Amino acid sequence: MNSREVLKVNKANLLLAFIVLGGLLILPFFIESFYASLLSMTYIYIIAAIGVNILTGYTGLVTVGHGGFFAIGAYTSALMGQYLGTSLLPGLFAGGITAGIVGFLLGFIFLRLAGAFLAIGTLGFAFAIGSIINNWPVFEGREGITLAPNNIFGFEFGDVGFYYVCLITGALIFLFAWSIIRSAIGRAFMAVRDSERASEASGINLRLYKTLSFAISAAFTGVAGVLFAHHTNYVSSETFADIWISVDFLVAVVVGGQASLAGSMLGGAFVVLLPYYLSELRDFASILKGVVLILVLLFAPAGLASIFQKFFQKTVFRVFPVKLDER
Amino acid sequence: MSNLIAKDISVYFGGLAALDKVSLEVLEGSITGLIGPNGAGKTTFFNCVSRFQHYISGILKHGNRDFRRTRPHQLVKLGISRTFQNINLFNSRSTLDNILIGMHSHIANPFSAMLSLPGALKRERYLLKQAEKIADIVGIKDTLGETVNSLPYGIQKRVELARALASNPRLLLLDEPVAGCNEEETCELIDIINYLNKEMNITVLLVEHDMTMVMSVCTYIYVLDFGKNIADGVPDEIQHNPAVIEAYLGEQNVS
Repeated sequence: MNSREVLKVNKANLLLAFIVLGGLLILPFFIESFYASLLSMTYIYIIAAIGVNILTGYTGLVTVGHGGFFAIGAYTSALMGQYLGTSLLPGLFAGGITAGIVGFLLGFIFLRLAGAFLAIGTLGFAFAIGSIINNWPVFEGREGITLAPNNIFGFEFGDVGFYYVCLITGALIFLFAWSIIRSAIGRAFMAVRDSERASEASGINLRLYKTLSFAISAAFTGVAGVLFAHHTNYVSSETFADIWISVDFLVAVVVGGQASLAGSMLGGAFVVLLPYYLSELRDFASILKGVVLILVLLFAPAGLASIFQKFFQKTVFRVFPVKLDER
Repeated sequence: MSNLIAKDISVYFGGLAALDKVSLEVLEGSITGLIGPNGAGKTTFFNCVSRFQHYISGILKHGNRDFRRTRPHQLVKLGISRTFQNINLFNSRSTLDNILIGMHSHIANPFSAMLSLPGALKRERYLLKQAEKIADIVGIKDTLGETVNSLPYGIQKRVELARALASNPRLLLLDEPVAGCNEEETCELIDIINYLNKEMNITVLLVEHDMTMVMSVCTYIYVLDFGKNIADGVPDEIQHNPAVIEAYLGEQNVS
């Protein structure tokens, strides 16, 4: 393999990305606004899944607590709206940055934890955040906080406008994640995942890269949290103190495909759309989610992305060499 | 002139002295060997030098710098690189990626890198060229695109060496570089090590069990047994040193 090939962008992937993005951009003209709203939720979970994937799939640090960052993002925007009168745009930045800072601190605290212990630690974090939301008066617990109708610079918009906000935010996060993963930093993350000893022997400062990964991952999921809050214009501990959100994120990453951005998209879609399409059989949807998770772990541990990749490989690969798994 | 000085290094595991006042000196430009029966403390010493192991007492110096507070990842910037006994590669990555990760200390700053700014991309292109050169020196240029865990053991050993070389070290610490290699692979590695030392002026400290290899490659040898220095000298002296022979014969009797 020519080393020059490493820096080149996979043209087939680029084409696929354009086709998908183009399709999603014009989609609202052909569907009811309810479906636009459903897709917005899908984009939100995809953004969160990308966040989790950076930490778990690429850096190898398991997290079952990212619901905490989701909540931090949401409540940052909600409280800012309540006390400062801001809306979506400042909320996105503030939510992302706040979650990122907490993520950095958490990464530092958890530096010495690995594997199951790290997972338990992050779970503890999610419980702690949930507890804070439930009990500190400023967060209004179960009664919740209502957000002002969505607007940017005073221009109000509804479901379709919000769809575009989620799509564009998602596309930007995807692009940023892709840039990070391709870079020397992404390489360092994956090195830490594969061997901490060899990483240190190669000059990689574990403390720096673990906390950096935590920070970026938390920031992305925080942004998703902000969008989630503005999706319904309401935050309450009933939704955000729910530990299952964290589990859903991890399921999205594992089912979709670890260390794969396409996987995060497939996983995010899976976690949102499956319960919707089985909404008559509500509990069955949860059971099915669990069953699919187990099947993936047993038979396709690299997730849906690898399944799709095999499919592409057998069919259109000659003319359309996409690469969905890893990077 | 010395590259590395160790004086009276001691390490205790519980009540057991893994290293008991071990001293050694690696002269600039040399290929220094560290040998001894199994369990003598060679890898423990290596881990002290590469800072994966704390030493209770003693002095470890590289140039003017005392190592006590140095952390493992800081060694690369000091020009020191190591390989691992049972190889320690980034298994999911390609050969090229393994070498590139070895060059981590030369990347553009994280901020530019994450945003894929032009400066960072330029640096990446430069690193890629350097990686190809290193792969060439070690003879693995045609495996650059392969995932390393699909490669044969002998090639993996070379990838490990390439990774260590990637950071442009002045001092190379090789932990059993020919362990598990057949005669042909051993000869090839000896050639590479000699090339690195003579043509690229890299000082080498190596731990090894293969006596033929050690005697043919090393310019100076230290011998450890039960965590203590028992002899040091040029290969000829060591080969005829009664204490050394005793230590190895003792090992033979036990096994």
